[in-house]
Amino acid sequence: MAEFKSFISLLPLPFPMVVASPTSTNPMFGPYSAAKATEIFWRMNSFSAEAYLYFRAWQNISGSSVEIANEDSSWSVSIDENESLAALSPHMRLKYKDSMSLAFARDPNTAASWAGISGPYFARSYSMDTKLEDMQFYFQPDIMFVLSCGLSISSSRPPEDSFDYKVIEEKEISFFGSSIKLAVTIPRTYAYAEEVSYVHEAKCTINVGSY
Amino acid sequence: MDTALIISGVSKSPCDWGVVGANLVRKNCAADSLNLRFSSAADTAGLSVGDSVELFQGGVRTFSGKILKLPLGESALDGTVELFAENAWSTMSEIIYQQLWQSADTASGEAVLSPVYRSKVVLGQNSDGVQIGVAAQLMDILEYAVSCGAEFCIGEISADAKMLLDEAKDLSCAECIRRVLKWLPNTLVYFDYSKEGLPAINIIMRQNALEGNLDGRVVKSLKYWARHDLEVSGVVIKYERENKAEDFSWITLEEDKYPPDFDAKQARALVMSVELAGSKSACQQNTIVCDPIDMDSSNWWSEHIPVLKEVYGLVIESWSRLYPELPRELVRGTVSSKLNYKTQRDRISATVRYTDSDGSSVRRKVAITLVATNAVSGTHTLWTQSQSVEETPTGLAEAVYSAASDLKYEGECTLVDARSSDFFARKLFLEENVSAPVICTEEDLSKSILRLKFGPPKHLYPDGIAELFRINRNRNAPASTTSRISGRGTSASTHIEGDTPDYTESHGTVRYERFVINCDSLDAKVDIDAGKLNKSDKAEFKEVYVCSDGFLAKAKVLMTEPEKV
Repeated sequence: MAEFKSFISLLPLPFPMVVASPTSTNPMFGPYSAAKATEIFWRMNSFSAEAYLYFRAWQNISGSSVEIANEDSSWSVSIDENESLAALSPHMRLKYKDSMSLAFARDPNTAASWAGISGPYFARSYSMDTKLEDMQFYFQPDIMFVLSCGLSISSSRPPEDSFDYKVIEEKEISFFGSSIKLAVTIPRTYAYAEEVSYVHEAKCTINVGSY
Repeated sequence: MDTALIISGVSKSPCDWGVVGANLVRKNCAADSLNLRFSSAADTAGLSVGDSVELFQGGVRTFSGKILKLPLGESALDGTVELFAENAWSTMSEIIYQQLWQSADTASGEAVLSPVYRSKVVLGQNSDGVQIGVAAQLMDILEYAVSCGAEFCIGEISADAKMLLDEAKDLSCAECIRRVLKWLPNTLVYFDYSKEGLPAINIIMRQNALEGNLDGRVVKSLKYWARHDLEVSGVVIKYERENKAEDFSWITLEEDKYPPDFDAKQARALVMSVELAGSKSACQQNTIVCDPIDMDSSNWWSEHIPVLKEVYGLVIESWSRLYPELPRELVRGTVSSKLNYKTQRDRISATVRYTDSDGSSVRRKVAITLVATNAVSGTHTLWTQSQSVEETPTGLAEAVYSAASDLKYEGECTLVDARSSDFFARKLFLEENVSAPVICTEEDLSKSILRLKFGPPKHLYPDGIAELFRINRNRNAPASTTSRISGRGTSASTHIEGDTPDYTESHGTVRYERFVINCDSLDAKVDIDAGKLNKSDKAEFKEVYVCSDGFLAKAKVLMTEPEKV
């Protein structure tokens, strides 16, 4: 755990802000005030995520049910100190610009599962004379846990008209008072075949701490 | 002949007063007296010393005075009583002549001059210290006597000539008049009683006197003779001055001679040595040091403003001064006003630019005030005169010659049934081209006999040529001519005034171009350099958002206006 030392930064945030407003496919935590966003950015010092996915599917082949998938997995990932600003002391965070996530946790065994937070971002472009108090900020989640069968729980949602993936469940997670819904999706193989039946279970939580 | 005596306001004829004898004596430049002899003490009952006595003859006042002596008892010889009265000249003999002198009052700790009367007098000088002639001096003496209660008025004072300054002390007004008239021996001083009111004193030259004639008079006796012994062949006045300067003294001689071609070595030459007041001077060696004023030189400014010695790159951008015509500054000594140099307190200002020891670039106005002068360095000798030279009289030799050279006649005459007022102070015609002033009359009123004495006035004029040589001997050369108006003794310290070096500096508003604050203990500095701003930029405290311990906060930050990039 990085040690906290009193500090003053002449900038509320150490890097130029970019616009990344939430969309239906990429929900974001927020909106936050400038004060809250500043506090989250500088004082957040721990991040971890836990997830569990279970999926079993059968296919009716010639009148008999054949199990075609039976898989489960659980993850417990904690902050990657090499890729997370929040793992650094506030003084060290001043050295980095936008090349690192605020917090990132990865399963070392499966490169396809992770959980991360980046930001803050502007909700939109503001003119120069807009007061900081009048601006809104967001943090973008980047969460993806997936089984090899394709069941995933993710902060990104497929488009409503996607034929490749289907959202079969939503799980709500919260981050400093703001919450979004994670999407539990299965691929087309299972989603739209009439001879396939399945059961699933999905859980995901993130934990954050601050100074 | 109607004769009346008014004594103590009571008018009677002499017979009614019981007067059995009366003598009226009038003298040139002396007191007139009236001697009355009463038949008995009863006639003088009620009279006392100081009572007024007036004598009228034929309705004309011929004497006015006061009782001076009045014996209490009768004469053992014949039982008479004598009353002796004198005129106002007697009062002048009792009044000490005083002059106004400036006196320093130091009671308050500061010398304040105020005029006071002193009986130490300088004859021939007025209260302003200006040399005056005989007539003006006589007027001053007479006016002083009148102011002190002498009962006369001033009539014709026509005798005038230049006179020498003569210092004396504790002299009566009468003595002073005689002393002044020593230089005009052919003057006549008399009182005119004929006018109403106070008798008038007159001082006239002999040649201006009225003529008295013996024609038709009953002359009882007359004898006169020529005074060849008083003839002088010429007059030489040698004016001597002893001058002093510091420890040196020297004598200067001037000669006034009349007739001009007269040989002073011949007999009957009237040779006089007259001491005049010489100059007394104190010498002061006055060393002054002046340096040139070079406003364009940074070294010159550094020398005058010490703080500029510790800076780098001193540049004099501009300068101005009040008296650019004075090229030097007075560094040491005093430029006395008696030196023929100009001095002014000059203010020289400049705008300078430099970098101080901390690295700050400074542009500021500085100014110094100094004594600017056109004097040059060197030692100047200043003479300060504590006593001025007494002016040499002009024409005095001629005046004395004319007064003493003509042939004098003197003699006596006794007349019957004549009044002294018809002859006293008049030129008595004796024969063709021969006349002599009547200088004394003695009139016996009871016997109607008048005795005249005429000739050189004995009070003023010496009896013989030997005495004539002495007319100057009692004169004191004045040593206090300047003291009278300055209130200072001649030995008082001299006063030298003038400009002395004076120097002040002032520093105008500092205009920093770069401001550096150093902390020597940490070897750290704060460097605010306006030169790093862009043109027309202004850095000032602005409120900005900062992050303080992870929280959003506000702070005042010295910064320029944000510029988009």
